[in-house]
Amino acid sequence: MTSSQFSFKKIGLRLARPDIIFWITPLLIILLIVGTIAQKELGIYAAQEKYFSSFFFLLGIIPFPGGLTLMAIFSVNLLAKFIFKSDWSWKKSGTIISHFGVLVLVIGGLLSFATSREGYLVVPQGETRSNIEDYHERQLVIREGDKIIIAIPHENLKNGLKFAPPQIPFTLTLDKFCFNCGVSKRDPKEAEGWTVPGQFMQLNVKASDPQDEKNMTGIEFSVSGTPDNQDGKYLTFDKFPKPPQIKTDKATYTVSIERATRPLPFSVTLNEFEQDFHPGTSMASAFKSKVTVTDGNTKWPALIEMNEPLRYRGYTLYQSSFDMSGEKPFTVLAVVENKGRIFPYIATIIITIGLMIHLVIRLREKKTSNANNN
Amino acid sequence: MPTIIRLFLIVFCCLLSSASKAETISAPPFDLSEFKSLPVLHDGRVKPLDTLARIELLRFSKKDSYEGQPAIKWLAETLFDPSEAPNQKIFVIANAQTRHLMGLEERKKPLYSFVELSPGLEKTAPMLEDLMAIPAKQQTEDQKDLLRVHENALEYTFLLRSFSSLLPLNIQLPATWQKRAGLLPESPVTYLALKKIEPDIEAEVKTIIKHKGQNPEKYSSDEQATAMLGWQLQTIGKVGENNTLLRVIPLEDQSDWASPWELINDGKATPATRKFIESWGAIALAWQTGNSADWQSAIKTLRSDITEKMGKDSIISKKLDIEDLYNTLSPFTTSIFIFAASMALSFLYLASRNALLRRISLVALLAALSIQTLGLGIRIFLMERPPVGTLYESLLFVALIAPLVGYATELKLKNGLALTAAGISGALIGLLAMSMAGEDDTMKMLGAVLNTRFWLTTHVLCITIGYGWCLITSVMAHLLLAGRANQKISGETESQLLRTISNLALFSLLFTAVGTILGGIWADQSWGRFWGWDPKENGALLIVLWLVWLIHGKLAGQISENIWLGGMALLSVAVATAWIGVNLLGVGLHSYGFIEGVFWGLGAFTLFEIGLVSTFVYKLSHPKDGASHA
Repeated sequence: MTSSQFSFKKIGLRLARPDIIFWITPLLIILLIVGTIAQKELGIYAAQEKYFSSFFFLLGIIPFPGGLTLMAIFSVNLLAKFIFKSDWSWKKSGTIISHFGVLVLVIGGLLSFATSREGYLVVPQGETRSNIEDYHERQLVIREGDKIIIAIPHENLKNGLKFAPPQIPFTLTLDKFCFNCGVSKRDPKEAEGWTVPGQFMQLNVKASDPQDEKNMTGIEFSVSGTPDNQDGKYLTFDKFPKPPQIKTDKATYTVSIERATRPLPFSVTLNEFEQDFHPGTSMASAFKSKVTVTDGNTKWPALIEMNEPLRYRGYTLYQSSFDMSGEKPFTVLAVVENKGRIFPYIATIIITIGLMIHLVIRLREKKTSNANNN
Repeated sequence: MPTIIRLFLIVFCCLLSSASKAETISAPPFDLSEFKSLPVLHDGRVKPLDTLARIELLRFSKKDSYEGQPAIKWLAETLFDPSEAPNQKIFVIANAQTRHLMGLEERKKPLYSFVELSPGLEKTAPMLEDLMAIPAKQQTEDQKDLLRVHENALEYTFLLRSFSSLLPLNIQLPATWQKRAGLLPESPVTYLALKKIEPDIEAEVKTIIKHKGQNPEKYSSDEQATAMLGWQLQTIGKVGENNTLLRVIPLEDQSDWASPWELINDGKATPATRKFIESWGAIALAWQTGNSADWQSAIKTLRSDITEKMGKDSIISKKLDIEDLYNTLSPFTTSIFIFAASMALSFLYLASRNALLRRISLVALLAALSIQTLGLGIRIFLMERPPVGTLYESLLFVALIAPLVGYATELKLKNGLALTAAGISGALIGLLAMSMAGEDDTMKMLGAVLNTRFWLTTHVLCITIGYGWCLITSVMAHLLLAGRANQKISGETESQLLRTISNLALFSLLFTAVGTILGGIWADQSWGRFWGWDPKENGALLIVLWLVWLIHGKLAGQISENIWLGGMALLSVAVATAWIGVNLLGVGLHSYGFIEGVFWGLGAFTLFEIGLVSTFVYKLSHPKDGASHA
């Protein structure tokens, strides 16, 4: 055995010691409690980002390891234990199998963390959609005609931001940015220089909603240097039906706040949205979207309902929400891509088998020892 | 006009109208045994009237009986004697701020009648619109309570007016109208009987107003009677709008039922519904006239008509019979007493070591377990799903699992300790369930996300079995700690118990870990992500981590046996936090509902447990005689 092999094994054995999990677990418990309580104020998404998807965070003034750090140490400890310290005997087979199951679960979690992407598809009845909207990412989009020429993620938007890229014939200055905006009436004395609807309304910064998708992101901005004297103050916000346009004799530029989108490699048409109720109540017993999936020249009908998603080409489409208040009902389908989704299913089976073998061996051992004693 | 204000006006119309009811004979000694079994469609399920009576009375008064009388008697009085019933003190107003706002007098027991509440309801009605504009999560307890009182009052008026179309009216019907309605002099004058001539009466009233104006003093006595009749019919009809609470009339479509008012207002009446309406009219009349024979006969006719419609062997008929039995048995209240009796006997056995006491205790435990199983079995049959859809239901289920594991353990150990643990866990969890019955014991239908038998059977059953296993482990650890601290346990029993607790902990880990992961898989199926750090998921993970920490801490030699035992005893706190505590946060996707007012109870329990276990562990670590346990 070479000295490098020796030291490698030595390190491995040290990393495999159960005292590591013993000290890591209370930290995980504290993290879990703090991160869960914080959801009351921050909402699930923000709390998840701050506590569970981070390496470190401040607990008051004390730096505390985040979920990623603790899970990394936990995974290393588990892997080292599995490789260097497993007692490969029948007696310990249950323990080894259940530890392996946890390892599969952790690897799946890592893969999901790295690869999963979530979004949603809003499809009005009778219409077809193939663009996934992001729950969290907003962007400032400038279009020339229908073509997107500039897209700035919301993280880069801030008050006072001024830009005049060569694609647009004017300068745009961001006067106010709010990730979650409230709307109120503008004092008529302050209406000068504003275009409609900014003459009558103004955006106010509001605290972010814990449910990120509910935040209404908006901007107030000034335009200067337009060739056809369209300088002025404008405002727009997420889902605003008529975003402001700056027209020149050559083109029309539309400035809007939009959810970041990405294409779905197939399209979904909502044929009908159905809601079933428990008899004599207004309590829904099921929500169903009857859709047609179109992929190239192939078309087929599919039913998406609660607990019964549609899986196709690595995408899973779930019944997430709906709206039947307007003229046309529309369905909201959550769209998830996750390369690690099979891992929990496998891990559950492995852990169950492992723990059951462990228990059976223990109980049989006890029986044997009792028999020997007698 | 905002809906709530409109509804509030209906409440007062109702009061006004009920004041005009005929004098009735109070509390006739009727047999209610057949009446209570009559079916009604309520909250998505056909159930006996007795169940509806209990649910409604529980909602108003937090009790399922009124002044020692069964809920069904209260319901009959409310339905058939709506002029007297509003004087019954059934509304519990526990919130002092609500009492103050409504101008209610302070009482030893804060119970009030609808008549007493009415001025307060009128006084606070203008506040409702603003209160309802506040999102539910931002409403204070006081605000929620005031809204709840108004909602209850509205529900009560619907109940009170359910049969107002069939009850005899206190009206002197002019002879011309009596003739036109085709009524004999001895026939009861009801809204339904006059409904067909209502358009004629309306037209007549319009003619009178056209010729003589709005002042009734200028009318002849016949014209006055006609105007009064028109106004009364209009008022009663208004009160009946949207009254769909008591759906007692089966329709053509077997799954659909209608309330008497729906038949009138929504055009659901058919020749087939006529006999049901007539039977209900006869029942109402029999009550009002105090005719016991007619009462029995009308109910029998109605029952036989419904049975004929449903089919004698239909699943609904069977369910009605079984639910009747369930209501009569009250299995979960009964089992608490027997669990408690078993626990008391096991304590006596531990003190005296009289083998007969242990045997009786075991029999009692088996009886309690059988009754608990029967109750849960009936609920499964009635709901057609696993009995773990709500927090209350999961408590009932754990009140079976924990003592069942205790029973099985006792059969192995034969030392009375697991028997005691089983009795303690059965009685305490049963009591906890009983304290939450008011919120949840309605066998309600589940929302769309939870409406899945597969995941309720796998994830929820698995995790609740895990809770049960954890709790029995905790109780056993308490007993061992107490026995050790007081030096009441022999060395052999002690090592036997340590091994048992160790095995129980492994089973707990198996069920909670697998249940937690299955929950993740359900989330993957429903919401598209395996793990979302939802409070309920985190709660379940907390128990798993706690067990992993204790098991590995002992293996690594990092914690002493006493600390390990103390940790196992504190599994109760971990389970309470995961199971009930996370609901306090009011966030997350799970539907158990956010329970207000348990914060202090949970806090006190946690402090008590930590104090108790710490005392035991300290005592064991600092023995007076110098002999320390491991």
